[in-house]
Amino acid sequence: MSARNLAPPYPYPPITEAVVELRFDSPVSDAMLRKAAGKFSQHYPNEQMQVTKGIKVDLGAATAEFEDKGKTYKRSSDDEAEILLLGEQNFAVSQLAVYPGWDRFHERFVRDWSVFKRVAGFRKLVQIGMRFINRIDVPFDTEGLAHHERYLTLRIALPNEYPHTTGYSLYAQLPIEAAKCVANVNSGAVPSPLPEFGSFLLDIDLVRTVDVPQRDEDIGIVLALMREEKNRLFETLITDAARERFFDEQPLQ
Amino acid sequence: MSHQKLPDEHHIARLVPWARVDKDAEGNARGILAAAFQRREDEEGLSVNWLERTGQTDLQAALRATVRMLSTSMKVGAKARLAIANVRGFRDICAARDVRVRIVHVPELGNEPHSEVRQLPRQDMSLLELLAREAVLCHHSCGSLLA
Amino acid sequence: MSSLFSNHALKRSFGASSVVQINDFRDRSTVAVSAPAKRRDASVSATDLITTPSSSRSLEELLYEARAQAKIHTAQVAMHMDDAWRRGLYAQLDNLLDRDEWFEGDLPLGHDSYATFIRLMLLVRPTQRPGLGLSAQGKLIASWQTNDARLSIECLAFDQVRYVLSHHVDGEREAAAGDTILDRILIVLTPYGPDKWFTRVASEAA
Repeated sequence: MSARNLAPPYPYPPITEAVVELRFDSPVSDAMLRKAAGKFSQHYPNEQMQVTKGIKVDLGAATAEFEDKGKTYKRSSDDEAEILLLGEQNFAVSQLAVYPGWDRFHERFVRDWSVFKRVAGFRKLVQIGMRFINRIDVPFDTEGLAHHERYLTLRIALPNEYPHTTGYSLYAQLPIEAAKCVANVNSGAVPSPLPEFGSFLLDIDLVRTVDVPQRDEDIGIVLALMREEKNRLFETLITDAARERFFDEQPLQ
Repeated sequence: MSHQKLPDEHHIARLVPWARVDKDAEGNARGILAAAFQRREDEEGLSVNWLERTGQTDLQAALRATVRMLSTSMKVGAKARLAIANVRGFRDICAARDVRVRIVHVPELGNEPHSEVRQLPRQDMSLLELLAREAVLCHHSCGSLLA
Repeated sequence: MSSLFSNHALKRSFGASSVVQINDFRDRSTVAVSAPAKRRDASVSATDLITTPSSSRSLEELLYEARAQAKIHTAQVAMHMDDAWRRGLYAQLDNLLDRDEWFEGDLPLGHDSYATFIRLMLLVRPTQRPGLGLSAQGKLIASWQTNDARLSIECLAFDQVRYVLSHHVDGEREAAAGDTILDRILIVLTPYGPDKWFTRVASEAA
């Protein structure tokens, strides 16, 4: 077992978004969704309704068909950092940066799931998911380059004749047996929001569709296990140079 | 159609929405941004109001009359401001930069003192900055004028 | 797994429930595209779009959307900001995009302008938060005043900025203005002593 199984709390974690999502087998009616959404006005004052439409394009016949596929009620805090998504077959709690730590994030999830269930009733869960999107910001070197291989262990292998890339993306699906999950890992160069920096995305999405817990207590146990495995995976995917980025920071003030 | 030129010794008032008021980080108004003097692309002249044309001899009364008149045709926010300039002062600042503006009376329905500053370049931001900093003699909150 | 962020470079779908969200700022609606369904026929393609209905939006909704998009964008760099600085910025945005003060005909804050503004702040690292204004075209204007010297920077799309400044020289007010790109703003402002507004100077930025 690696000495870095569980990531220490970093002063400046690179998490741009954390999401915990539950999916159910049977849809919740729109009326119930609307009622549930209304229960969250105190915690999430802002509400938007999103509509999913299916589009089928037949290039041969040059036609397009639209189909209503349901609504999602999105509620958000005033700073737009805490978000709740209530869909016909999914419930998701999302946190944008600054990530407040697992305890607070999980506490919000537990609170909101409890409120939702009081309206929607029992729903058989068919999927439980956890996604942490990280962005590692790296200052350009003297040559105006940012080398992802210095910060990430998930790397693109390039031939000697083409040593530099102006963009890349990688995807890997990894079995996480300890948590009965699959980890979908996306990584790649992304436009940096910071001037004079390069940025690399490390998007870790754990999905469990077998032995999905149904009781709240079991959901908590599984999420804790998934989080532990996510942290273990994250630590193996970054280098010490990346870790230094999470400590070395002079925030705008 | 020729329009009457405003006398040099008279004054114009420019309505400055809150978005174009210069404010500090705490939201305290401290001046007028140059952008407040930038006319829209589809406008022939910069809209202003002729203060003395309100018929009021007292400045505060003239300002109140101006805000009330503007409020009949548009929403005037409480934090918007009226920026006051002397006609000659305004023209002299422009002339010092080789810009010849004409400040003329263009009455509108419901706003008889409406006037325009014509031939003011839209994109000469340094001139607009000088006007905002030097031509503006004072500025008043519309909310306090309507109170 | 849902995400609220766009992955510009990562267009490949993954997992059964991947949703990648793109912001369509032309009509101010938020569009998300899910993974394309399996194709049986090469000429037929099916996909899902998630959109916030944008027809006949009220002014209040448009202003909320502008505020929300700005805050979501700020969250992308929140780890590079002091909490108090960020909270103060949000208060300024709420104040600037207040429905009660909105001037008819103005465009709401454009996301492209705000993105440039954030990058400007992180580049110049101002000694204090600027005052915020908005042009009629929805471009954010950051302004600083120190004694009698004033600097305003209008943030345009794609790192383009328009600076306007005025100060006194030998008793006379002098003004200067110009357009440049973000990378050059400190160099361009060097003759005017930008260290009274910014903690970074041109030699550091070069």
